[in-house]
Amino acid sequence: MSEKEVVLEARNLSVDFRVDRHLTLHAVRDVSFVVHQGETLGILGESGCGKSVTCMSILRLNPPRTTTYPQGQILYGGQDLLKISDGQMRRLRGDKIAMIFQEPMTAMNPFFTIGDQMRESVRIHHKKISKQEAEDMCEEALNKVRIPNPKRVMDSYSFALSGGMLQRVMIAMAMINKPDLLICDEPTTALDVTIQAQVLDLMNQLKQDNDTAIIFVTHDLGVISEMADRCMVMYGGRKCEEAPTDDLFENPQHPYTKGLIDSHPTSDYTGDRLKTIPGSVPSLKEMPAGCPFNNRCPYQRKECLTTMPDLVEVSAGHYSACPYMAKEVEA
Amino acid sequence: MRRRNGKDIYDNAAQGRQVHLFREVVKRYFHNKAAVLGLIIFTVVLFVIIFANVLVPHSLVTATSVRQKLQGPSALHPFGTDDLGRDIFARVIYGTRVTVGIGVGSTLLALIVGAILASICALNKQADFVIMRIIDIGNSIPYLLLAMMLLAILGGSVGNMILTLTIISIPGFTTRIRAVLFGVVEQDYVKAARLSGTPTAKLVLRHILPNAIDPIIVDATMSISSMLLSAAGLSFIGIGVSPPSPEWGAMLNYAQKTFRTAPHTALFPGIAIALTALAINLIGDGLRDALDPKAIK
Amino acid sequence: MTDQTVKTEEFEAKTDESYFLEARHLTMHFPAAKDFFGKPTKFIHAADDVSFKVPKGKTLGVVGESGCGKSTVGKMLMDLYHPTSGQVLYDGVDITNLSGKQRQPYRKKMQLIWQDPYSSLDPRMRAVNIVMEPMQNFGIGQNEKERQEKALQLLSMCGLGSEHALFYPHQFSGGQRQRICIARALATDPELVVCDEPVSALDVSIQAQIINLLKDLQDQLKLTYLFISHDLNIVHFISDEIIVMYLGQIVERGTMEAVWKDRAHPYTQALFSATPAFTAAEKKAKKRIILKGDVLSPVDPPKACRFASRCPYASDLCRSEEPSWKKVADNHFVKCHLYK
Repeated sequence: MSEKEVVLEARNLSVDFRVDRHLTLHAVRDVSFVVHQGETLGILGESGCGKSVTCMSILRLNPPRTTTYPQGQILYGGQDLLKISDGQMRRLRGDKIAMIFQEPMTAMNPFFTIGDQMRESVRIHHKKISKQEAEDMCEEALNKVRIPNPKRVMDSYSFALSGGMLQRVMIAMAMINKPDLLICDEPTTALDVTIQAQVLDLMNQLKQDNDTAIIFVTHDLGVISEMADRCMVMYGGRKCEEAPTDDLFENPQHPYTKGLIDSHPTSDYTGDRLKTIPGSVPSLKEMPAGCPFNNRCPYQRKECLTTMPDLVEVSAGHYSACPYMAKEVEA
Repeated sequence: MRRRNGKDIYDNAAQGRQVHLFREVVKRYFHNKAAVLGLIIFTVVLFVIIFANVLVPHSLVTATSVRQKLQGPSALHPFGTDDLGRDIFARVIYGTRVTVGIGVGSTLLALIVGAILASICALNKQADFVIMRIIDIGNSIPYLLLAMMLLAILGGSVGNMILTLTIISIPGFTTRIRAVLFGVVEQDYVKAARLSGTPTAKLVLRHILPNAIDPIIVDATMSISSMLLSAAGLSFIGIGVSPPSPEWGAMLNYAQKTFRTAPHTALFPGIAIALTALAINLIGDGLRDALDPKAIK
Repeated sequence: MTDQTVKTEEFEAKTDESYFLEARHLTMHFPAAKDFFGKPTKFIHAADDVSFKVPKGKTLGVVGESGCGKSTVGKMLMDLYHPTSGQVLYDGVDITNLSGKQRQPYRKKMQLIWQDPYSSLDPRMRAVNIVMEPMQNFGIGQNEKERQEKALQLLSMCGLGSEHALFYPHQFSGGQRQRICIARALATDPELVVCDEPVSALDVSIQAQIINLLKDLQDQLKLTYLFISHDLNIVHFISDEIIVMYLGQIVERGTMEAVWKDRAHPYTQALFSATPAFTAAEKKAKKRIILKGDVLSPVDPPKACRFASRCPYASDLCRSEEPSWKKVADNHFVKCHLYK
């Protein structure tokens, strides 16, 4: 994987939200990651962990009036996406970098047909293309996402389609301009499991065909383990672990990841009680100093209360921000 | 389980972050500068209403004096005089009672009737259908026409003015309150309360109304100012409060004849209407922001 | 094939264990379209002929995807919907058509835990008052002080200390709110608690806490649960018996272990295989079945197997005739033509 070209790199990204004069929330702090061509990077975390904000920052879709980026860079094709002009950013969005959202229903405009919206997204980025060519491209894209009878779908409105069908249309729209990077923000959370299975299967197929880099954001352990090649776990705006997916689930090195995995009943689990992580997810306002997980962590030490530990490479490609857990487990 | 009496919980909770909803709302309201300004202006208005007879003797309102007609503002007549030589300052001061009284009175009446009708609608489907159809009919008559008709039949007095304004605003109040109540009735906590055996009366008084009251308060506040303007408007076109009463709109109407030569006759009642309406609107806006449940945290 | 076919009455009669709540042929049709005179012409079949019994002191899990009618069934039991036809029996008494007053004692015995802990708590009431309210309504406890004490005890059973008692709902996190909901449901000393997706609105790391809490409370208070969820793994963990629903109908039912071991209905198999796995062992054990197509419209579905449109094994018989119940094992039944 590492020989492949780097598509996008985030370096020490931090994102702040200014609520009012006295209050600034640190939504993301010091997060770095790389995505390679043809690779899926999973970002795993619970609500408020900063996973969505991180991927919104790539396309600068966070609310512009309140968001600041106090440090860090997002490098794409030699440019820092946080610095380029709005015009340049607009040209990237939907063309080189595409995005799929959680709620397909609200991502579509109910006043226009699916076809209208698809053709528009083609013609914005390819000004010279003729109507007929755009039409053909859309049809081909819908065929690729295995939509039977694409002509009829293009003539229908978003409210006439089911959630699974719409999400496939969204994928077709995102893939139509052959983007280098596809960002998926909880794309299957709103879908039923059997429909989710269809969509995930389709996305894996498309990834193989197009060699696209994918950033896949979700809170669902099962989904991420099926989709991602490499996986990054976030908690309280910080990156706490990163590893190849199988390695992460077999051998978690951060107490939060371990807690998360253990608290899930698997189909072969026969115990009487589930393992839990005590306490609850702190809101951004109440985030503790030092390691954000310190108040729920079984391996908590004095140092954790004041400083966030650095990410350490535990084994090849496996980074963890907790140096204490491994030691205690050994001891 | 340790035994605790009521006082203990309060002591214990005081150590935590106990919140008083009302105090929170007040705190947020006073954070809003415009809202505070509105409150200050309205306090002045209230002061004027209560202490009008301390400020100026009531006799000045109707005392005419041909020799002193159409005088500009002076120390003796701060706002000048009109074409009958009446003191405009005194008339504006006493006009506050009439005009604001009409605004507040008709709003309160319409609010009470509207809330009762809306509660019936929210609880009974058949009644809802009947009431809403009647309101539809009411809404289809132009309100100005209706007001003119009513005032022509009843005659223009302060009481009739309140009655007329109440009648023409009941449909609006009912539909708006009904919409709020329907939203609250659909909430899971109302259903949950019903499942825990809460009787209907208690359901309405304890769960539905308290949660619907915020938008209703805001709505009522805002409508005071629109009532005020309607009252002034009706008086201005000559069908409202009859001439000797110092109603602001009526004063404006009366000043039409003299406005070109002596603009102050229209200026001061106009300013009074504008300021009061502004103040009430600012208060309404402030309340809406302060009561917004999303802001409570 | 015919000898395995069972009549509904047959497995209903099978009561070696004690059951106290019974649903008989519960059907819920919502009008989907009306003619000019307001008479409904089309119906959404939210639940069709749903019959089951809830084993005392145990957990009956109800699984299915959105729109399968699992929540509708729960709400019919709780009298939030009045069924189009069918009956709800409590200790053999038909409580379907009871008036408000007559229903009251059964309300006390049956409580509901809502899916969304944000909308199910009155934002203007303090936690302790929320828990006290049902007690006041049913006259539990001698006086306010006693009720308050019991409310505090319930809150602490649910993991909330008395320092939280005077907080308003918005001061709590989602998991804590769900604890208040559970405490409120327990305030009337119910026998049956219907849990309508109690953890699906919560963060992943909180879900396990609530599931454990529900399990502990069941052991402590001998509660019976009807546990509605779309998450097979959670239902498997908590349930003793299971019902699988698809498009308003029960397609498979039986003891949890039997159904888990021997998934007889193609839909159950697909549902199980679609639940994404993350441990290596589990991944290996799973064979992916990707269903084709979408769920059929619930508006006036055809009189045939409702799963036939997506079933990989469907035959002409499946598309033309409604399947009947077949016995797989003792206390394990499936509604499928293909099961032999």
